[in-house]
Amino acid sequence: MTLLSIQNLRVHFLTEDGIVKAVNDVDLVIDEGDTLGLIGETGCGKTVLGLSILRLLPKNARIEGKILYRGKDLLKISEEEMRKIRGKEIAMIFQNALTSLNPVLTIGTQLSEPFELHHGLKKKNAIQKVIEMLKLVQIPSPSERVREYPHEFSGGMRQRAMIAMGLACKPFLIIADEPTKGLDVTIQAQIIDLMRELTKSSMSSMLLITHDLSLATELCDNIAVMYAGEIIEYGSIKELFKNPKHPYTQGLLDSHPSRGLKPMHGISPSLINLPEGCKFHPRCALAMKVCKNKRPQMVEIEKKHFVRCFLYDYD
Amino acid sequence: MNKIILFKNFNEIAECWFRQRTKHFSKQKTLVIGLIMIFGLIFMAIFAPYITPYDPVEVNLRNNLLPPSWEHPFGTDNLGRDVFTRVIYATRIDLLAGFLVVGISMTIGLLIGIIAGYYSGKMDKILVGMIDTFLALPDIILALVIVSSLGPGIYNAIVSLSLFGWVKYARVSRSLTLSVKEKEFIEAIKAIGASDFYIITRHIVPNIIAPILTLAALHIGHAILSLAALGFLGLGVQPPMPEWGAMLNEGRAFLRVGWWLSVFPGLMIMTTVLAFNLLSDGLRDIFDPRVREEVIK
Amino acid sequence: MLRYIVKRLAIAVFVIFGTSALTFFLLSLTPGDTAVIIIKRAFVGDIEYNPSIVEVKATKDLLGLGNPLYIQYLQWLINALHGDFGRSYVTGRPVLDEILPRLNATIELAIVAAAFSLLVAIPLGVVSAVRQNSGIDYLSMAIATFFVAMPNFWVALILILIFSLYLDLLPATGYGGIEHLILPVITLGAGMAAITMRLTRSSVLEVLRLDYVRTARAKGLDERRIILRHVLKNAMIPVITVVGLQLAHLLAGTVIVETIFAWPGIGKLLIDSVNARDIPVIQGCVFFIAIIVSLVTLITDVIYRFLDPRIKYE
Repeated sequence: MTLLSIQNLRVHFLTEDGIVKAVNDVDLVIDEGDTLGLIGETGCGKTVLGLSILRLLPKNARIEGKILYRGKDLLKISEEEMRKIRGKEIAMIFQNALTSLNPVLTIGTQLSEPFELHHGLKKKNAIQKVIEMLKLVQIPSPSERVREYPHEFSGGMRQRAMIAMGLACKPFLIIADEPTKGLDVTIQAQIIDLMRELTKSSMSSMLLITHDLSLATELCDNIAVMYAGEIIEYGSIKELFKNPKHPYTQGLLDSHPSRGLKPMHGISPSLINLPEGCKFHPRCALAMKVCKNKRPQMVEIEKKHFVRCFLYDYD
Repeated sequence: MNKIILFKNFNEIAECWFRQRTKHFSKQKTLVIGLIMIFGLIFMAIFAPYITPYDPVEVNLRNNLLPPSWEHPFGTDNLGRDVFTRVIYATRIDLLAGFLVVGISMTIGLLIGIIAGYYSGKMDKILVGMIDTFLALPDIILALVIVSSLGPGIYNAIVSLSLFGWVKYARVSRSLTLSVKEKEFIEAIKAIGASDFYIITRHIVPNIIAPILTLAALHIGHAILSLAALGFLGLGVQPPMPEWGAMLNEGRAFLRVGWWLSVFPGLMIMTTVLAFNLLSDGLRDIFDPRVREEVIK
Repeated sequence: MLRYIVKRLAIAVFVIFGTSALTFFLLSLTPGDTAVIIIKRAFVGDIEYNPSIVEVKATKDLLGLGNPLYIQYLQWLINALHGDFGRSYVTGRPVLDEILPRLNATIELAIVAAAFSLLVAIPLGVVSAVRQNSGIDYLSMAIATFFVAMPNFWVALILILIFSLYLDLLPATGYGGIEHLILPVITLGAGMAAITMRLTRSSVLEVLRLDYVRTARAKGLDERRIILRHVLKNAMIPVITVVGLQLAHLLAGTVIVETIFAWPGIGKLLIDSVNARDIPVIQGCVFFIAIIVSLVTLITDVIYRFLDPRIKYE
């Protein structure tokens, strides 16, 4: 069953330096119980994609397209309706737990807000729930910890607290944006284990946004590869690793330590001055003449394996 | 890709394009306006005799307390003097005094602050203690004390304001010097045998001068306000010299019969201080790294 | 926290003594023989009186005026700590008797002005930030920019012009009921309100851009709760520091405002004694002003540390 369907999404930002085209014509589907990994380099627009689902973009953003969720277009509903969904049915876990938590409020206060807001609990009862959540994410001595402030937690604990905050109301969809960024490798491993456990036990879907391939392999069922604001390949985790079709995906896999650390040529394009035609063609060793002028369409080359590349687009 | 659909209306595209082209200029908008105003004021001060029709001190009792008119745009005061003329001439005194106060304060403050920061040690700690003491009281109070012992007058006013004005420069330059001193390139230069004097003048000063200047611009405004306040209290410039604050004080007694005596000099003070505030804001915008509209990647 | 308070108290004491020593020294530079002045003004009460050499010497010995300066200061200090600040040259009464009743009036004025200023500035600053670039934002920013540049004595005169002379709504001078309080409070508070409002606005704008505000939105919180619970406390932290400094300058402002509105406070006393060269009273006034300023700074520092839990428990 499809939970979320993104259609023709375009997100542009109006800035002093020009128009930043962060998301260009993206189609994406997340099924119930599915964990979808959104892979891409820093600056390819994946975080923007995540934020647009919850309509958390800054004022200078211009959005077009559809985000269908349970029969509603999230981009068209009122702000009030959107607020009822945020934190309750769709929740987001942010990157930098230190800056994403309010330094002057206790962990207890911040984590009880979803309960107070969406379940109508009074503060006392909400705190009880918070303590349960903290236990769930394996934070020691939770009943004392609720009264502490974010700066008193360690990096790993803060991230767990953020995860607890996201999972509080048992949302149908969790958007996790680089949940292990900046953490020590050992802590990363713990967080990954935790997230795997939690997603397995609950029925929620997850959109995991990351640049870290190994993280994706640990947690995801399907992968969407993003480049310069577009989805250029989509498939199951097994398929993609066995049979990467897009040159960029191949390059991404090759640059992984386990495969030899082979670097890719060139740098990712600026989102203000995007190249014409296929966005990857300046860096592609297999670029053909048509790649410079025309933009390839998404093509299903095998069952549930899609690529956007003229190598496979025989039109 | 059809850009027009994504914008609320055509205005947005135009605005975005326009902002790109004028990005540089709009950052300096405040600075430019401030500078224009200041140049205007300096012009008025320098060319006062040529742009004013009357004598600022000549008494003409038959014309006293005339409301604003074509002949007397700001009216006349109780001694028949043209207020417009006096206001323009007062620009000389207030501007010059303001520049002097800031110039002296900045120089002393820079010297003491840099030396304290560079040669930190016992001397430094004593200085910091002194600085905190001086900072405790507002400058007007201390200026009053000095005036009461040395007597009123424009020079004493300048001296007393400078005497306590240097403190904030010292504080800022000291902390900035301390942080520049830590930077590695200082070590490198020392290693090639540069003298302290060389290091200070060629490397420390240029690095700290920017925030100091911003502070100075703001300070000129404050200094002029303080000078006018002292003048208002009768403790600054002495009559018959025209000075904005003093003129306001004179006008106070005639508020009922001659509002123009008090309104216009005050307007001039506000305009002047505003000009320097704009200058200071503009400088700060230029020197600080600009924080752009955040684009989330 | 307690240790911090004690440390700041110690510094405050040091500062008060430092300032009074400085003032003492500066006042001693007054030209003219102090003994003669005292005889003329305090003892005899006649400026024209010509004291004899014997009288001058006797006065010098009596008051210890022949001693080196620092001894004189210490003498003054010891006396002051016992409540004896000397006698006014003008009225002959003990300085403390002149100052204490007036302290009330000044504190009353200062507190009401500060309250007025904060009650206007902070909500306006928050609204301006939340509705950035709206009509109300531009209007309040424009008004604030002008008020920051206005001398408070001019504001006072304009207010008197409009409300006392033309509209005849409020009294121009005097001390008594609320109607006497209004104009002085507005005069004193307007400048501080302008600065506080601009600072609040920029502080709130800063905080609104931060990650944790986005997190709060992601949880489904509405704007009102976000502002009141998440933004305000954080935004007020830098504002408090500046407000503390402003309050000190408020005291300086009372000097002018009390003079214009004939408000019987310390500020007016200071000016009157400066004009009359009443040195003991000047010394006493500065001493008390230093105490008030130090206390205010200390309280604001403590509040600041209290607000930010990152510092609170150090």
